[in-house]
Amino acid sequence: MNDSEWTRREFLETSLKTGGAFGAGAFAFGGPPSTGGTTMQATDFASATTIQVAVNEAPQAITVDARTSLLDLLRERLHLNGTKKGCNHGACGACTVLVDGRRVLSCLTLAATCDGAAVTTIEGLAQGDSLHPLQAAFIEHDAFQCGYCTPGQILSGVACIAEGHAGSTEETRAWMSGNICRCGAYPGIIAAIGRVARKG
Amino acid sequence: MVPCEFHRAQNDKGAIEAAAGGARFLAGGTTLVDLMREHIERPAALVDINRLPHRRIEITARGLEIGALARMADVAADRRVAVAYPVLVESLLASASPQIRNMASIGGNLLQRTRCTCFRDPGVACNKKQPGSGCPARIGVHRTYAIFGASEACIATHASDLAVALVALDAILRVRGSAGERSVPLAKLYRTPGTTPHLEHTLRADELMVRIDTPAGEYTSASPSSPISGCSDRPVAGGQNMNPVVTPYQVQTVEAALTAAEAPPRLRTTLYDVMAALQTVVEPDEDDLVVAVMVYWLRSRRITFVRDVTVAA
Repeated sequence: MNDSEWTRREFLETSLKTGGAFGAGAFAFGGPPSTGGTTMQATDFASATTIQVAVNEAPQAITVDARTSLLDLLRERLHLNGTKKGCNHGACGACTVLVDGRRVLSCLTLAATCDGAAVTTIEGLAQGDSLHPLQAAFIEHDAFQCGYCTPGQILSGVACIAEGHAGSTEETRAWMSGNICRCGAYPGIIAAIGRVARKG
Repeated sequence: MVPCEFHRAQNDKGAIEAAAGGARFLAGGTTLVDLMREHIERPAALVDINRLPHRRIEITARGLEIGALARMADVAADRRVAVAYPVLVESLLASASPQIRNMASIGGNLLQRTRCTCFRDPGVACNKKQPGSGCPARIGVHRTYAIFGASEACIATHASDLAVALVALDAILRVRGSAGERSVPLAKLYRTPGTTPHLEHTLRADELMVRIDTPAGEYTSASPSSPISGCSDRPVAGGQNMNPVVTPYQVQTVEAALTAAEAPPRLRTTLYDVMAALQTVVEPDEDDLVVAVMVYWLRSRRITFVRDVTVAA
């Protein structure tokens, strides 16, 4: 479909239903959503798909447009804003989450493909008020400045340790290469991961 | 992204029928979703093939069989593959990032779009996006673009390190479509751009890759991967090893400056190995010299390709 054939009305409707950057504008006009953002339901879309997904161990059924990324589902529909949108094309790692225990990029994962999946985000790591050991180690080792990449770094670090790829500094650096830190907190990040990996 | 339909295939037949009706296969999505977001890819429908049973990795007397939906990370972590086909593991670990290797399928890696930054930029002309619109990449910053196999119309490269290794190992694809099942040698999968750079491979739209077979060979367990380091200006960690070729090639004969031990006359080897051997005799920042020597050898016929190619002017 050619973009120029779109009417303004169609454009706004589509933008609202698919979430993403334009969704934030809808909140500004309509106030914050009460429960789960009813303005963004996509049930009347021809391309809508209903998925069963367990996010941080809470199972739920969600109807999504085919184009909705897992990242936008988490942030705009489920309001789990810990997962960050950095580049939105798979280069920076800020959106890293665990799907069925494997670290993946939620920006390049279509939510519709996640039927039956278990998703873990940064909000799901702590046990109550008790931080995950890697979260605590990030604080202890001063492993962030601005903090924007941190949720992705920590999820990726958790997986890196579980995979057995945090044996040496060189190995950890290679296997954390999918997560960029613009502040340059890499020494602290590598130290924190090494500390938790050695503790077992 | 522009609106599209979404189907989930329960079996090969369903996937092939959906593709015959215009849907695009969706596996890991690491290329397709990215290009859809940039409006470079605009499929009317997607068919999710991730539930299809094509993820097995097996080593038989005939060789290695990899299900096309096996993930890059799964093949890279397979100890049997590491022992018998180390070049595959090395080329996989030289690719992308751990997250992308967890997501991306082997079939999708081989069929990722041949591309450059102009192709990715919606506001820039590109003969692949719009045949006949021109190729501004030729006069821009093109240090990472193709030298071998390029044409006036296109100098974009194929980004797969794995494809280079699999071509060197004479891999064969098993593909299934509405007209039946067939085998396609990987070396015959890719087209050179010529005047039709928008046509990248020889599969039909409804043909589903189900398996990649790599025959057992005399040298497979002794073949290392030698990526060309420093061939990219990208600061992103991982995936720095850009291929200077449009399609993965094998080089048939090498008769020049390599030592006799490394390269006996009429050696059949990979372009990677030749360039890596050359790199051992130049300074670390002299990659351009390696490329210049390669162009000289090619023009003087000291090396020839298994497939016919032309050298970019």
